[in-house]
Amino acid sequence: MRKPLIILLAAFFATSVYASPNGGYTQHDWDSLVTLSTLTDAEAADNAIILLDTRILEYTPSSEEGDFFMYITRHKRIRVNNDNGVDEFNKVFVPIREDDEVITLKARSIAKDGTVKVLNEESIKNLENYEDYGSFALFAIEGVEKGGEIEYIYTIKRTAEIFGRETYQSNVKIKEANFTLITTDELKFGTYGYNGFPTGEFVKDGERYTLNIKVENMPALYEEEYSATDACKQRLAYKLIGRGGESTRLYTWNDAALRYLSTMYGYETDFDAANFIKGIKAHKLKTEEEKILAIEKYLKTNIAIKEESGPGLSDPSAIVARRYGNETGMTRIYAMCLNELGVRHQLVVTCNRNDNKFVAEFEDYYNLDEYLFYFPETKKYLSPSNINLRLGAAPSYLAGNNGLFVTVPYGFGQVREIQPMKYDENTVKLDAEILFDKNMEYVTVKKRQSWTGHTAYIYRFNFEYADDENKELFIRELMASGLDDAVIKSKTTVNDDIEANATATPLELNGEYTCGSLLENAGSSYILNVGDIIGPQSELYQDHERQTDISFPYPKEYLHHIYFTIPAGYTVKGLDDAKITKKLESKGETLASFTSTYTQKGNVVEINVHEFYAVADIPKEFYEGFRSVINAASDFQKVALVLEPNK
Amino acid sequence: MAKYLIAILFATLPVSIWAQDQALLTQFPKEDVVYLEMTEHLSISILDDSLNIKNMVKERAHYLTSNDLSLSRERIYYTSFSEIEDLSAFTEVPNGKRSKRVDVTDFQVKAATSGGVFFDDNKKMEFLFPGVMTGATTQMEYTEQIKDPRMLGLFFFNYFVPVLKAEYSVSFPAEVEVAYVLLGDNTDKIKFKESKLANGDKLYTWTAENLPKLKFEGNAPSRTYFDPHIILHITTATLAGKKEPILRNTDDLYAWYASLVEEINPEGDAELKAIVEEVIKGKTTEREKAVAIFKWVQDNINYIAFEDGMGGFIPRNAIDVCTKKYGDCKDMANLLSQMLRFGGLEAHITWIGTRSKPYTYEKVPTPIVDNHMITTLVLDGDTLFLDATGKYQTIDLPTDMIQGKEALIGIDKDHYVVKKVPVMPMEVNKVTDSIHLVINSSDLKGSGRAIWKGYPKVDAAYAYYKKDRSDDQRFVTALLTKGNNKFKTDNFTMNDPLDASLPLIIDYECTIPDFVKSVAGKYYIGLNMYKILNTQPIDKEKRTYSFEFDYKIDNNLVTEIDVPEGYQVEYLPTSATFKDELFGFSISYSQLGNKVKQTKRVYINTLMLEPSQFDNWNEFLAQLNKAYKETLVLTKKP
Repeated sequence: MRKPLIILLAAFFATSVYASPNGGYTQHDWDSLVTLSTLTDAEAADNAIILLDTRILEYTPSSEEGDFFMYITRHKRIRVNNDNGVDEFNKVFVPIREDDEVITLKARSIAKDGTVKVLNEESIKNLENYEDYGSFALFAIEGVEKGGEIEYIYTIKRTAEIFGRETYQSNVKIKEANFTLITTDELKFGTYGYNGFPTGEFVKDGERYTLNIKVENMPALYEEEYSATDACKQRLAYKLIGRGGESTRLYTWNDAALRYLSTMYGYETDFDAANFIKGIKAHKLKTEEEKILAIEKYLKTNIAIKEESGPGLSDPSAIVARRYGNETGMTRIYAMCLNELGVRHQLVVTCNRNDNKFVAEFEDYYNLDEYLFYFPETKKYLSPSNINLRLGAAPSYLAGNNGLFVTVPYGFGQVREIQPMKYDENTVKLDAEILFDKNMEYVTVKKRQSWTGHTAYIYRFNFEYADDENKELFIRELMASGLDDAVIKSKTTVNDDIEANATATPLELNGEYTCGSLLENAGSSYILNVGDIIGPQSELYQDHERQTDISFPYPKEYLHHIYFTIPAGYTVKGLDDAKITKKLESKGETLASFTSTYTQKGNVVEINVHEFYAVADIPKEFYEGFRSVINAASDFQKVALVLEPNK
Repeated sequence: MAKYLIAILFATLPVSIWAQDQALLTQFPKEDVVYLEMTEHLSISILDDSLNIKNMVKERAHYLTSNDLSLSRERIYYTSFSEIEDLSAFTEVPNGKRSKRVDVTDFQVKAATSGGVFFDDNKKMEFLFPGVMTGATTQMEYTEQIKDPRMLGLFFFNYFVPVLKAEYSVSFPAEVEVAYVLLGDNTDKIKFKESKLANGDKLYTWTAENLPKLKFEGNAPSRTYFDPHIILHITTATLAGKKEPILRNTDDLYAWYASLVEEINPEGDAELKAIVEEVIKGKTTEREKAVAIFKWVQDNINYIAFEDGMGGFIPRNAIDVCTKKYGDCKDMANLLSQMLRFGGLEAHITWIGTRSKPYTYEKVPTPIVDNHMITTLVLDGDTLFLDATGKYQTIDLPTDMIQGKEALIGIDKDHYVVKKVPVMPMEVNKVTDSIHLVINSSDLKGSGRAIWKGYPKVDAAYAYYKKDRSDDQRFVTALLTKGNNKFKTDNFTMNDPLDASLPLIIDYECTIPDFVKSVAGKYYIGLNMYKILNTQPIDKEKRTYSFEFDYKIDNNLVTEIDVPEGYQVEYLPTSATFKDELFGFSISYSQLGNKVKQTKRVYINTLMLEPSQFDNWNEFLAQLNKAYKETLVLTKKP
């Protein structure tokens, strides 16, 4: 998605920056003599250790064209300690863009005994137009062995780019990470470090300005449960902020806002919004909202969205004719239609919160790759690309992140939060009655389940688009998750039409199943595994220190009501285990909570569970409290009652 | 005005679309797309004394709804053995009662590296049919120029959506002879017709109509087992007056294979011999030598597949693979064979199809029959099948994916042997876990020993290989977890899971928190803490295909629990067994002094569960799941 913008901006840059005389580039090379590095015991136990990750960007004026080039150098050295480490690092892909010039590309391995094997240049292959990733130079490093090292270095000359991002952290520790940016007094760059990556100052050295950042011992960042791991990685963003002699800051949020305004609303196309609206008969509808919904329904059910760029894919008239387009093109159609309808709205540009945090203080244009529309009067959002959503909530992967809100038609840009839904708008409700077989061989569970908010949106989408077989599997998973021996006897869904995603109407699934494993034999008694009715619950461990903040797809609330009549001649025991309370509170607010209670009136037992997670993001300092709430649900799942014959 | 003109120009289909759609909707009420036509015509001719082979492909799809437009994105895959020519594609977009034709203009060639392969020269032509909507028909036609007469491919008569008409045909002159085999289910419904073209060439046509869409079922074998398809091969061709064998039988296939590998190791013998000497230093028996060499290749050569051009068929020079330290299956098979031979052993490179290819060399003497290469070792009169791509196999354990498959063993340039790889008996794949438990209020404290052998051991080794953290705790806990998800490994010792020569043995101490149900002076303990095959029965109404297992397995669990002081057994669960040749279980309970012991065995003694066995299987599951419900009850002594 971000490609079109980069191209747009690169073009802008090429014509607006004028060069000072030719500079050339600073050579960077590996050591001609090389020996194996020394590792600590802990490092030697990891699959691999990145010994060195050096990235150099050098901006240098081109003598002929009147603009700038950049030299991109990567130098990486890795110790591979075992098979996994070898497999992870012995293959190298170097992304090559059109018009790139590969200046150097070399690789070598250092065996345990110090033998160095340099890559044969003939072994470098070119993969052209690989999926949507562009082209690559790729090679396998020769002579790699466990306990040995891999080293490679390459420099690519590319048309200068005005912003970029370097992500360093991964699930492999880095002993030494370096970032160097070399520029002239003509081009001034700003940087921003995410998740603790440091920034630094440019130092003048003759004609050049150099920024050197060095990080030692950057820990491996592992996948954790309830975590947006990618968004937590240490990375650095850089961008052009000024030109020689001028004090105006370049590429501000307002600049971006104006650019988006013109590229979305001012795009030259044959597309006629008024005609289009008439064509789908939306003009006859009464309210603005009905009209927007009609347009949305038409576009989302008739036009395929492809994540690629190409001729016609972003042109509204071509899209409507061919019925496929990309996100930019679709956004243009909505923008033009909203303008035509005269609906007050704003364009929002943001990024997936699982990928990166959108910060206001640094204009990181890399974060501008997802579109939304916002309607200030109703506080509703419209996603042009998410085909399971309808006018209302912002997609959960965007909500809670900041976004650039662009006013229409003036193009003022403001960074603020995209409002997430509240937890009580994303509910999961369960009403389950347990009936005992007369021979006590199995139980029948009659379930009424309902969902609202994001859960309902996703499920409706699944119902709409899954084939019969997958739909059946999905329903089974919803009704009897974890009960592998359960047999579904009946099922009906209510309000499962995807257009209901524009409403707060709950999606319902009603039905029943029989299950033997819920009722176990204990001599003359029986064990009722009542907790299993809510399905498998995850158990969180604390075997490693929590690295990342807690992140959920969206705030959520569960309400379970489970009840049964005790079979004649039996008494129920062990009900006190069904009483659980755990809460995570901060500053007087409950962030997460699990409560289960029971009542027994005569021979009717009722159990009520209320569990909620009020926010989607919780700082890692609260992990222990959060864990106790999650594990309370897991404890509840283990609740088993004993049915004892009356004496 | 211009608009009208365009509409007239493109109105090519005067037939009533509605009538056709109504009929199709009645026939396929639940389908979004159907294929009206799916044809391939293989045209074999002789041009300048050589074979000229073209495969003409045509597909017409019709959209009954616009719910699923994924098929509108078309991809044509091809390799360096063929070229795509004369490609045309268009959509007939409904326009009132007529339709207008919109041509595809944007074709993109992309790299299409196959899964698991690092680099190959496979490509795909990708394009999107424009204007696809309810009532639209898309058509694609192209010609594939086939460069090698042995690589004619295969044709499936069914597809992801229903096919109204599928047709495969071949035309060939008198100088050419062909053979074919029809495979899969329902091939009797494929109509065969023999006729002649105007130029006298023979024309064979196979036609099938109204083919249901292909079905996906969990754990089913590859579609080649049941989907109707045809494999055709040219047996001989008379070129410049000389009758040339192409692929008449396995002899011809082998002759070709042998010619490809004739000069694969042109140099480096001395160097490789020196390495072998080093590897087998101090090893006296042939077995010791073989084990050492196999382990050396497994340890030192990393699997990376480069499959460009004939590189997909010809192994690279052994010494090169040895110094580069990487290779694909062929490279490893060749290096291993060469090294074993230099070690004084009898070894041969061997072609084999994995279990995804249900073919025999006799029935399918074409390159389609196999997809893998291994090394055959003759040791003490036994034939062993060494697959060095299996990093954690022993010399006695072929990879599970080639069990029961025919191996084409290359003895020398002119001789080969076809032999079957054995299916490993379940005794080889044995998992045992013996645990002693003590009640500690609501927790269970346990100490035990678990052992994995054969394929389960190999699986454990791969799981160990995959872990991203250096500590072993999570790995061990994941392997041992029983009772509930609070299971904790407190202490353990284990041998190196990556050492292929030994079973994996873990001695452990563990806690299973909140597992004991304690109510009114009684303890309730479900001793089936690890429920193998606690699954729902196979739905015979819905399941069509066999159910495939990776390997046979024999699970043995012994669980012993101390009856606490002051308690006695109130209910000792009843024992149960189900015995069948292919699968079964036994669970028995006994009480000895203050101990209760459960001995459990669950085994699967087949690789394939056929539909005819589903009833029995379901009965087995029903009895097993019933047995799993038994709970031990201990009560306070009066």
